[in-house]
Amino acid sequence: MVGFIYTHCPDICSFITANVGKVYEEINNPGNTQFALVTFDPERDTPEVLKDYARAFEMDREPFHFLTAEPDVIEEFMQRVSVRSQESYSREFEDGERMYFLNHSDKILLIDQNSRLIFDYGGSMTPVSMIVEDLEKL
Amino acid sequence: MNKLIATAFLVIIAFVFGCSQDEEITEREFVLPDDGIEIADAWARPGRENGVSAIYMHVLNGSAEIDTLLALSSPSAGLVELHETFDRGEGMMGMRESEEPYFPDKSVVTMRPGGMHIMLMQLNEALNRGDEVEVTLTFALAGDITVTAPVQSPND
Repeated sequence: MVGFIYTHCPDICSFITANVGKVYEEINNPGNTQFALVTFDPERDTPEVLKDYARAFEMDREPFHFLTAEPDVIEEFMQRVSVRSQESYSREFEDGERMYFLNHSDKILLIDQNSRLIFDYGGSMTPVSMIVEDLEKL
Repeated sequence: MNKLIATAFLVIIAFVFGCSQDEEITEREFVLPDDGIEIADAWARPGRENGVSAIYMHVLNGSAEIDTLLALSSPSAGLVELHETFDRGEGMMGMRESEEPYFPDKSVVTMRPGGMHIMLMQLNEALNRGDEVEVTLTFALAGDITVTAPVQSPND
C-alpha cells in the first residue's frame, strides 16, 4: 500500500497519511502487506523531516516506511505511478525563509509483489473500509 | 421575542465523506447563538516542529449581519492564514489562500478537511495527539475569539 505525500501540506496529505495508518489498524491479516508513504518533495522531505512527521502521526514504527530519494529518482518514480505535483504559490517569512506549496495528485495505490498496480484510490477521502475490503479480497 | 426566535434557530448540515462509490452522509444539528459568533468542534491535525498544521471547526454566526474574518494568530505558529483546498481536476488537488473570509448571518460555515481550514505555518513545537493549540480569530463585528483546539489524528 503506497500513499504519496509532502510534509508541508497541511490538509490533504495528512489524511492520506492517516488513512494508510488506519488501514493497517483495521486489516485482519496485514502480515504480507507493506505500508509506504513516499514524498514527492524530496528537497525538503529529508529522512529526518520524514521521521519527525511520522512521529507526529504516531507512525514512526513498523510496518510503516516513509520514503524519499534523490530528486531525479523520485521524479522518475512519480512518473511511473502517475503522481503529479507542481508549485502553486509561496510565502516568504520575516527571517527570509521561503515556504512553497504544491498542487498534487491525491492518491493511494495497492501494488502487488510483481509491481503490478491492483487498485488506485483517491488518497484522502476514500473510505478506509473500502481499501480494507479490497485488501482482504486479494 | 427576537431572542427566543434566534435561540430556536437550528441549522442542519449534511457532511459527505468518501468518493462516489461509497458515500457516507452524516448530519449535524447546530443551535445558533443569540447574537455574535461561536465556534464548535475545533480540532487540529498533528504537525512536526517547524512544519505545518491545520485547524478545522464550525463557525456559527447567530447575528443578523455578515461578519468578516480580518486576522488570525496563534502562539504556536509563526504565520496563520485561512486557506482552502480545491479540486484542480484530473485528480490534482490545490491549495490557496481563501479569498472569501465571509460568514453569512444566521449561518454555519464549516472548516473541514479538503475545504476551508486555518493553516498554521512555522510551528514553534511539534503538535502531537493529545496536545492543544490555541488560535485567535479576529472578526470585524464579533471581535477576537480565542479557541483551544485539541490535536487529533485525522481518523479519530
